[in-house]
Amino acid sequence: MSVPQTETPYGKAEIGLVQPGPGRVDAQVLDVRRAGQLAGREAESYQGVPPVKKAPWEWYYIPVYFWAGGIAAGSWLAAAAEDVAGANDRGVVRAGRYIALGGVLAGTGLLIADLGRPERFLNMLRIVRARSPMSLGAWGLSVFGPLTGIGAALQFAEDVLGRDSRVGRLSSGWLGRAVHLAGLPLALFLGGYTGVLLAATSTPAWAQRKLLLGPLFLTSGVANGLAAVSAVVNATDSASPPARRRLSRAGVLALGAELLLESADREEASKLPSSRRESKLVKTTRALMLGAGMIAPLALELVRGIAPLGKRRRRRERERWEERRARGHRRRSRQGLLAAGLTLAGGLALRLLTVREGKVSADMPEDTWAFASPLTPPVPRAGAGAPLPLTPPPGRGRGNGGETAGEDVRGGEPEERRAAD
Amino acid sequence: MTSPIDDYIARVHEQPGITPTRVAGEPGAVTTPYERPARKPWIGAMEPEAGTSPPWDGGPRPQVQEAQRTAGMMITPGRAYGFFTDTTLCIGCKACEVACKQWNNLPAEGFHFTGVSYDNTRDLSATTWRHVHFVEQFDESRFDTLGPQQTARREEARETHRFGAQELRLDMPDGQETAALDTPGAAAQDVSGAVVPDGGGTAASAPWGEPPAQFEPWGNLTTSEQWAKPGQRWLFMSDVCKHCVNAPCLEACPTGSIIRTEFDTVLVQQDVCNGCGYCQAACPFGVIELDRQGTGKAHKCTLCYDRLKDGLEPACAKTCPTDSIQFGPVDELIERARVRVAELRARGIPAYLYGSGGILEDDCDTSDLGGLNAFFLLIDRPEVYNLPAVAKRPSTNTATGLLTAALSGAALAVATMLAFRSGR
Repeated sequence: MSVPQTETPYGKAEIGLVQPGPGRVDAQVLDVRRAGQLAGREAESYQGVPPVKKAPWEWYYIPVYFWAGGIAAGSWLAAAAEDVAGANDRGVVRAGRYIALGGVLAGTGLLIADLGRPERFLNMLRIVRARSPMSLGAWGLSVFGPLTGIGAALQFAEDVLGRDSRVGRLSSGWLGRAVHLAGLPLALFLGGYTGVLLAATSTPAWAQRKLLLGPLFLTSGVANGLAAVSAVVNATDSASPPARRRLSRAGVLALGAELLLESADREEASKLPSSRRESKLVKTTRALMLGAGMIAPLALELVRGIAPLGKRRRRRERERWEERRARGHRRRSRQGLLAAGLTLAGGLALRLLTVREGKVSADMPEDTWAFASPLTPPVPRAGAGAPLPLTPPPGRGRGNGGETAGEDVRGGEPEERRAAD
Repeated sequence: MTSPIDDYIARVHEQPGITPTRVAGEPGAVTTPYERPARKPWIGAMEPEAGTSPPWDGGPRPQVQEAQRTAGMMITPGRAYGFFTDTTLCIGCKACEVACKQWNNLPAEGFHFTGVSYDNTRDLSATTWRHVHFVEQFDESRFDTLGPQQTARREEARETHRFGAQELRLDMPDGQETAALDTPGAAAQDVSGAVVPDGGGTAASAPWGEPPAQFEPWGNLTTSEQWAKPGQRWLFMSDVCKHCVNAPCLEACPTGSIIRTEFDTVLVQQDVCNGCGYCQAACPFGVIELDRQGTGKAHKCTLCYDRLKDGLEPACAKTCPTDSIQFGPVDELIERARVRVAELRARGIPAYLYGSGGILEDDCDTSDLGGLNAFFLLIDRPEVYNLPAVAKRPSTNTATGLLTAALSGAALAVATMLAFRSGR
């Protein structure tokens, strides 16, 4: 946007309006006073300047990190669940471990890149502050990261040296299970703390939903992690059909929970004025996210999770798979890839939308007043009955400014008292 | 007879280690400490001139601070210091903004005009740590006496949706107004209210004619009357970091860069901050900001920590010409504020405190933050000054959020395990 400029002795000067702060404004900062006058009451705000500042995070760093962290959490859960409760299918566990490491590495890289002073990233580990989700998350990532490294290293050794070697037996046996279970609480924390990080701010749209953002991000992360593992497994045909069905069923659960939480979240978000002023892009993206990112994969995975009826059919299916593997022929399941891809896209869209909602909400003064000023009802301006105890005493006309200036205004009372005497 | 200042100087010069300056050519005469030559700074350097006075014996140096002169007290570490900003005294001169920028060597943010009253700064930022609000509250009914040309201009200004659409100045009434007044015997009144006989000479010869007879500017009201009527006044407030007792920025900072100093102020240690920007999202007043284009770190008012350590009061408080910004120990400031609020209320002005931690806080609540070390005296609703009526402490959401996340995580993990088990 080119603003008219003029030359001054001090350099070029812009003539016209200025955006609040050196950054961009993500929402159109309306002429709040005019809007309030149109709405019938004076919308109070200091010249439309937002009373809180929005989070200074770029869309390509922090929301993408949320997504990567959620995928890492979900894929670790997939690996742990397959190891502990499933049939210990190595394809699923392998995918889970490698994806978890990849997610952690990518996430850490994104976080460091987003810092204003990236070379000082280790300062995050100077203290532990229990009141700050960012401090807890930094420490959680620092502990979970090496665990994913250990898991991936074990898996790599197993892949290279074979499942029947000593390392391979450890990796698929008690050591692998121990590592999975040790990392499970950390993985779940990592998936959910990002929502708490958003909630522990003064951005109205986020702080209003403090109960729901953590669980929402966690379930979405689990669904995305399962989808990532499912995508890899379907693309490389490395897991048995029953294992794929287990993934699908867990995915159905996670997607269903995510849908429930998202609807509760929308309910909570509708309490703020910013939810009524969303742009078309946001509305379209949210509809796509719900429909294509959550409901469609849910349906697909529901179908894929149904096992063929009858023991003989199941045995034949397994034999066919093992034959394929022996031949070295990999059959990609397009349906599975589609479901996984949709879930992943939906997860990324959820985080991008949530961060954007927060930025827009922080830029709107009405949101902060709705969130942080519930006590104060709009007080009518003078002319509609002044709420103040003072009325100018009678007899004070124009033209006596010199005489009355500086006097206490209640000087009119003695006159009335004298009149009453 | 010696004046109090001479007594003071004499007492100071009696302290061991103080070397009075001697005016050249006048043996034994001393000048005030503030006229010393530049090579001998007043505070700090205690080296005596060779051969002029007894050398300093290395004993304790007397505590003399500039704050004793400018703020009337000694600054001692271990006490809680802050600001009491009495917005009823502010005249909107912006000396505080200038002093802050100058002392802290802050850069300008671009040479632009906002079109919003006299406020071109608009908001606190990483490079603006003091910002004066100009709140114009002029009643619509003031312009009931406008002529059609004036009304048309106001409508046009509204339609262009300018930020804080300015009221037009009534210095150009149109010809029709003048014509309506141009009747014999109608005495023109000037703004002070004195009646001027309509001689038809100098008054009518002015090109813009006479102001309408019904026009009464707000200047006829006393200050109290003005402030009592929200439709006829101008509010100023010098906004600054509130140095909250439970500072959300401090609680959000993951590096421990934001600390409480020995003066109970909130400080960002610039050699630790790594620019994560979480404090910017956490501040409920929109004070602190990450300087992405510049240093990459977060900046805000330091309450002139460097000045406090050397016994000087903050630059803004020192420079404020009306003492609207008062610096001192918070408990003393609260006492002063109480007296001032009572005085104002006795005059009919609805004054209250914002950030005093529950004392005289009408319709506002900063108890979640434990009160603000930099608190304000306001005479209108907090939203008018861009302050939230109920300031919330964001870090209380951490425990709540983690609890629900943990519960849902446990439930999800169990459900996933069961789902995997069922499909064995």
